[in-house]
Amino acid sequence: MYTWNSPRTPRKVGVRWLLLMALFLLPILAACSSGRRAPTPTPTRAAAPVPTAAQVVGPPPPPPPTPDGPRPAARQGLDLTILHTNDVRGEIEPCG
Amino acid sequence: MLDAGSSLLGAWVSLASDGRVTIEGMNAMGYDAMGVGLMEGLEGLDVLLDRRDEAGFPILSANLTYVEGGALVLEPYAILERDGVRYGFLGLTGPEFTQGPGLAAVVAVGDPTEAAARYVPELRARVDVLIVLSTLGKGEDNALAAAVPGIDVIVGSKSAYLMQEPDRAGDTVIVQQGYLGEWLGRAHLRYDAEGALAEASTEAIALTEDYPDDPDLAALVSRYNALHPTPAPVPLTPSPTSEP
Repeated sequence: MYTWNSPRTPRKVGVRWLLLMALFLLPILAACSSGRRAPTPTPTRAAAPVPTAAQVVGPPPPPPPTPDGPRPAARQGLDLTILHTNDVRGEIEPCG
Repeated sequence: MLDAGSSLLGAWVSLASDGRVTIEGMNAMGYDAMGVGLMEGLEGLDVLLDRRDEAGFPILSANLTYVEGGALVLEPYAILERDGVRYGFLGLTGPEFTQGPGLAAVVAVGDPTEAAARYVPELRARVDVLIVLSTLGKGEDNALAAAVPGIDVIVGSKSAYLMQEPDRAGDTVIVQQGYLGEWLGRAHLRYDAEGALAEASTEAIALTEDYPDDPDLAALVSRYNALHPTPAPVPLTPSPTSEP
């Protein structure tokens, strides 16, 4: 087997070189056989920084909405004051 | 802070302003809900609905319906959650409401007991304390409490009462205090460790000169009084005597 290092000085081609060429040629051959273009290598991004402990600790998530329904516990020990008016009939004059 | 109803209109400046001064004042005072009675309809339905849209609180009636179609005119009830407790307010209107101009042709006042029987179970399932705002009158409030279980408090009107202690019908507490904005009612209820009513009391706070005027509310009233000065009294023409 001959290389193209020098058209006048053929050299013996080793197994290592063959393996290296295979690594480049195989994707091209696979793309051709599937009818697609060889995939271009995608640029890799730097991995997202792992959040530190301080970033993970934040405000707790809101509690799930309580469903409608009787809640006897809400009245237990309840002290309720209701201010109320009636029949005011538009009399909004000041007290003084 | 609640109003049972019959409060929107009556005094000159409230009539002249179509109830705007009343609603602005109630908004400023932080009312949470209001019922509907005779005085809310004094200038017709459109005025009531306009003020309803301007109010920062719900104006409620579960038994006012349109003659045509039968739909409710107003929201029947509202739910307010405060400090982890859910309050339900249900409005019930007395039959005299349709005395206002043009109302009888447009609005019908349904049976309040039937309306309460219809809406109390639905509201009871969603709230911790259920309060009816009633313009039925005290006797009718007592009858309502006996007929419809599940009501915690009835804030009533129409009867010009000053109550030393609340009425009770089973576990329903019935209160009303005074009229013409001259008294403020303060009802106190205490529930025990099982959530049952343990104690109920009421007082009528006379709004005398001992209470200084809120400057913002005083300014509001002054502004409306300036816009709508009270008309001068019309002198009466003495009638002819019957003497020959």
